[in-house]
Amino acid sequence: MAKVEFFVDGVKVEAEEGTSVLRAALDAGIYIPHICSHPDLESRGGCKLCVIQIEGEEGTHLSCRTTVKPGMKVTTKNDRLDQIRRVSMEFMLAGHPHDCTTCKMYLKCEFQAMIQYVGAFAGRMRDVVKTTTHINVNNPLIVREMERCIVCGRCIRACKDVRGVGILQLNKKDGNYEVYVGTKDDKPLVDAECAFCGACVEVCPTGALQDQAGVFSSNYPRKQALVPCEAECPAHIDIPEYIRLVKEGKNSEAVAVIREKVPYPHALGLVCVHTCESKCKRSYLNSALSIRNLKRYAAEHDDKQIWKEKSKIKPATGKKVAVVGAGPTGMTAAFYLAKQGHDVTVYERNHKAGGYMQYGIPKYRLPREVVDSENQMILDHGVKLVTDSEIKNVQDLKSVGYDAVLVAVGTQAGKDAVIPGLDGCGMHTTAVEFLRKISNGESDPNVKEGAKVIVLGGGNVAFDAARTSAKLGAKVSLFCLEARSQMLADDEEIEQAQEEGVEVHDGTTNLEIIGSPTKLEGLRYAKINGFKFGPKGLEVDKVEGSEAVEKGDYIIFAMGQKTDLQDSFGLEINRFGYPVMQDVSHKTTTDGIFAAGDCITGTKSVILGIEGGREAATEIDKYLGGDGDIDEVLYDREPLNPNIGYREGFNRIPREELQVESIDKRARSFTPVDFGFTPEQSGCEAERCLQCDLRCDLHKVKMWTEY
Amino acid sequence: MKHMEADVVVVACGMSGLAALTQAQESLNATGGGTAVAFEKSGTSGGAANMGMALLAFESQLQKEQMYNDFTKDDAFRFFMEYVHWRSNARVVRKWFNMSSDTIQWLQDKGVEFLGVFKYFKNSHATQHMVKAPGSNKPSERSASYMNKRLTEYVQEIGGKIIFNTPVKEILTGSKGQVRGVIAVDENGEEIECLCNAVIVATGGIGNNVDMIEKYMGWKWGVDMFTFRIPGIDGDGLNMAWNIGARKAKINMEVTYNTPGTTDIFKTLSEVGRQPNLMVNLKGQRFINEEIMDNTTFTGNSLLLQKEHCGFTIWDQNIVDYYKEHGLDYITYHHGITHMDKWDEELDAYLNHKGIAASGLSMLHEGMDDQASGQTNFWKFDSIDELCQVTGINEKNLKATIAEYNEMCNGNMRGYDWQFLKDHRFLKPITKAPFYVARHFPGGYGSLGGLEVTDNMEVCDDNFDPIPGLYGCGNDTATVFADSYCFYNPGSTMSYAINSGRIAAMSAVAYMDSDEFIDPEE
Repeated sequence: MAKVEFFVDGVKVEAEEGTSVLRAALDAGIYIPHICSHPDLESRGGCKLCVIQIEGEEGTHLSCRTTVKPGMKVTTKNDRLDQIRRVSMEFMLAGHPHDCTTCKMYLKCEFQAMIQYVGAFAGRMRDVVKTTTHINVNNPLIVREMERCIVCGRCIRACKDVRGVGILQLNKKDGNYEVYVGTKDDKPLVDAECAFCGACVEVCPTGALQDQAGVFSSNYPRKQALVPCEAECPAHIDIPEYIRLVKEGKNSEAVAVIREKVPYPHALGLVCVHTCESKCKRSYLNSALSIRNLKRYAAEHDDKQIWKEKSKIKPATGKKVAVVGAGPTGMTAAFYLAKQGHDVTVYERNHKAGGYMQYGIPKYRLPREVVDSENQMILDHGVKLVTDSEIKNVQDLKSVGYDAVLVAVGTQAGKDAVIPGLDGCGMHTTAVEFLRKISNGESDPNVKEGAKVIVLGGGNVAFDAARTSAKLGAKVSLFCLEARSQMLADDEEIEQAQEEGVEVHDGTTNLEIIGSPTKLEGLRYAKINGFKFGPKGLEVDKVEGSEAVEKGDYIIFAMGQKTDLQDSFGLEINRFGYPVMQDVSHKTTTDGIFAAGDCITGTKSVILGIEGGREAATEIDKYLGGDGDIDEVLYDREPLNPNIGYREGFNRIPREELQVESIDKRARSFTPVDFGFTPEQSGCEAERCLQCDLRCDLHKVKMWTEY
Repeated sequence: MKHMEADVVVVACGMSGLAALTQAQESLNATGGGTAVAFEKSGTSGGAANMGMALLAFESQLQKEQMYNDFTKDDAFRFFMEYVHWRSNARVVRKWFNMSSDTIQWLQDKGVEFLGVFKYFKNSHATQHMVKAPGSNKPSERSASYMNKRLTEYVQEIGGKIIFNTPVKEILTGSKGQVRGVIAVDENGEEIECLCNAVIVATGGIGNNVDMIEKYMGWKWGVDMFTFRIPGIDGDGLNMAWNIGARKAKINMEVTYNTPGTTDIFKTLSEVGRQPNLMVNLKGQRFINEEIMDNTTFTGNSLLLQKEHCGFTIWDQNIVDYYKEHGLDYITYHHGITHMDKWDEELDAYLNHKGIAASGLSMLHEGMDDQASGQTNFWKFDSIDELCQVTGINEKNLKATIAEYNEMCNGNMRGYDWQFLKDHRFLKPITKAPFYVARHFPGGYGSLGGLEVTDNMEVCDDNFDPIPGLYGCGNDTATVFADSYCFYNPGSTMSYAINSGRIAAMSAVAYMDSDEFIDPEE
């Protein structure tokens, strides 16, 4: 497009033909005050703050509505223009609260910065007392403090012109001339079919429209915080993008997006702890998006595997890395290190790779074909795997020519509980050990048809042990400290376990194990009102007279795990059994030896293990002379379509739930307990996404201080 | 991580930081050059002072011109030290007061205009130098923001830098404990390491940090304390300075009082509730000479002594009619309510919640949603019985109090408040329904103090020795106000902010050229 040269306050400015004087000046770094204009919205010339004079022309003009002309000489600052701006601001101020003492936007407010810049203050005009400020103030997600509104109309334009939703309008109050921003018939936003995209809040120059407190975390930079699912995901997967792709049926593309951050999309689609969903903005409307199930759907329908096209392996560096432990952390680190061009070998003491995904999580939750196939894709990138090989001392690896070693051995040992009577009784095991045996095709002779098994613990591992025992024919009761609402396990795990016959005794404390080395009598326990961790450790508040004995044959402890690292392993180990680390890094105190995953963080989740592996890979790559940049783009994004359109009922679409296998078919079976979304379900669920990331495309208005 | 260097780094660019930055750059320019940089976490400069309008000085040219020459710097020093019972750093007070008039000139030299000098209430001194709003000849709320604009432009003209939307998160120290730089975080989350010779902390206290308010002052915000919570004033500077060994000095609240839910929005209702009419506590007893309600610190202090930290002003229809005809007893230019024209309209809007969404009850009033009880703080009643039922005031006592109060107004004691000696002009009996009630709670502008400083604004460690290269100013250091803010000298906060900022900057630049200077990289 042709360029036009003109002059702003004597400075030569070049702009594209058709640009407004306001935009051209701002782009050239010359500030002209404005409040109703916004870079993403068409200017309407409402606020009059952007007035200018043009040499050779009568009167004043609005720079937002004046197109640049060659040679035009524009004046933006003189007494007359300042006077117009002040009077215009005074009119806006007459209906605005006089001081900012309770406004949460203080110092982030464009209007306040404008008061400062223009130097206009309340005082001369009669105050306007608005009578419409309490209309429509009871809404989810969007807080409307309309006494602060200056009726600039930005929100209306954003809603209509940018988003194509168009539910905001100027309403006129009966009986006086008050004009206010509202909805048709003053309907609450939900009934008015608001899509809760937040564009109106984003463009509001005052504190009139605000986000409900707590929706966006203040722990992240603003743009990151605006997309809570992505911010909360430990690996920061671009969740809104892959959900849009699932909606369009582009499942392979969706998987490519997921694979930009994690090499186990399918496994995560089945077992991820989905912290993303806990902060989903949609949960403030009805319920959170079923993000994990959409990931699973994409992974199960990745027909084209397009991610492989762009997955690059850098030229060989000649550096050798050994990874100890083939769990999610070790395999992920190995994958990215191989892609950075290093020669990577993973040592695993078990027969297969996968760690807790292979030898812990029961098959009915995570079929082993999924783990094997995703492991294979990692090995396809040149990672060497040596199984049935236990590394006794990491220093040995250094001495056989590895330039760097990553220890990712997880937490392999179940924690001993401190309960009176435990020492005298042989009839118990830990959940880790029990689940490892069952996963490995072995059996535990004490868990059999008709046996009475007591599981202690309330997390997912406890439920894995409890359900597995039940499926093997045992009668199972589970005891945990937490009350039902505080239990750490997923709700669906608890519910399905109960359906499968597991008796849950929540809010209890274990008092004594009664039995002999070869025979268990039972567990003496009591109900509790609550518990806390005080200076002396756990303190429980027992319910008087609630003591009872649960009879049983065998106890499984699922009360946490720990590493089984010994000093002989060749690392400096602290008194809790964890390697001593340097600051907040993955470096151990031995040069060239790194550690990551559960073995440094304590038992966490698959996704945190993967993220630990990514971070360690970055650090090791840097250590070996690389740039540490493991980010990749496996799917080229299309520009986002900001126009989401008006959709009736959109904000009320209920969450899709998975179809679960009937109880008689799943009670004694290790086949998957639920079925993934159908194509129809995936479409409906993906449709519910509020596309929080669209808001990031709206431009931030630069205040006068930034020019 | 990005890297940069400066001679002086100012942490936050509110009023004290902006003054410190300006003075630092001026002093650097006068002593051979260098750069002063301020990191500000919001998008504008001036901080809480953008809401303000005036600052204090003694013996200024303006005061002389207006013939306010009866309260000298010496008078002010004696008065102030008496007022605070010498529980204040006298060296700091003396230095600040002595510098105050020079600072007015300093601002005028930069193009800041003043409207004149004003009192704050009837018994206060005329110390407030009111910043003039362009095109206006009246005191205007927020007018100080125009001064801040002028300073912001000026400091950048002379070479100072302000980096907006970039909070400092850590102060770095060298091997001898000397300051060597800061770590800031920009808008995109990227860290910036800025190495420097001196750091001036100017983050304005803990006014928005509910946990710290409870920890250091013992009040639960939104339950028994309703201070302004200016976003961003979270105690950043105090925590950073404490982390590198600064002594924890006492933190106080700049106490005032307010009527949550009405003060900002229903200004006429609020202003009538602040007139010197009968005030009682939950027991139904008077506890204050209501005449002193124009001294908001004293009123806040007395509310803090009452059950549930609250008090109720009560007035009747006769008083409303009187105000409509004769005007209010107290008019303040800072609230700007000069007449009763909006009384009926606001009353209607408040009591009948006109236009509330069909969807359900609205939050009703700003701030109310923060209160567990969802209570309101303004009522209209047809009888005293009803009044007591709703507000929880002891009915028997209140009836006795009103009878006694009316006796003082109209009975044998006519015009004599034998109890607390309120001026006879403000003794108006409570007789004619409807009765109006406003409930007041302690409020406040923000916190005062946290860092122990010398009169050079050097921040001290537990041994009262300065931490080399670390300076503080403004509310982070304002222990000078002791237990009660001195409203008799209005404009103190802003004056202290600017003058302490200037002193900190002068000291920091002098330190860099002195024998005491410790190389930051040592």
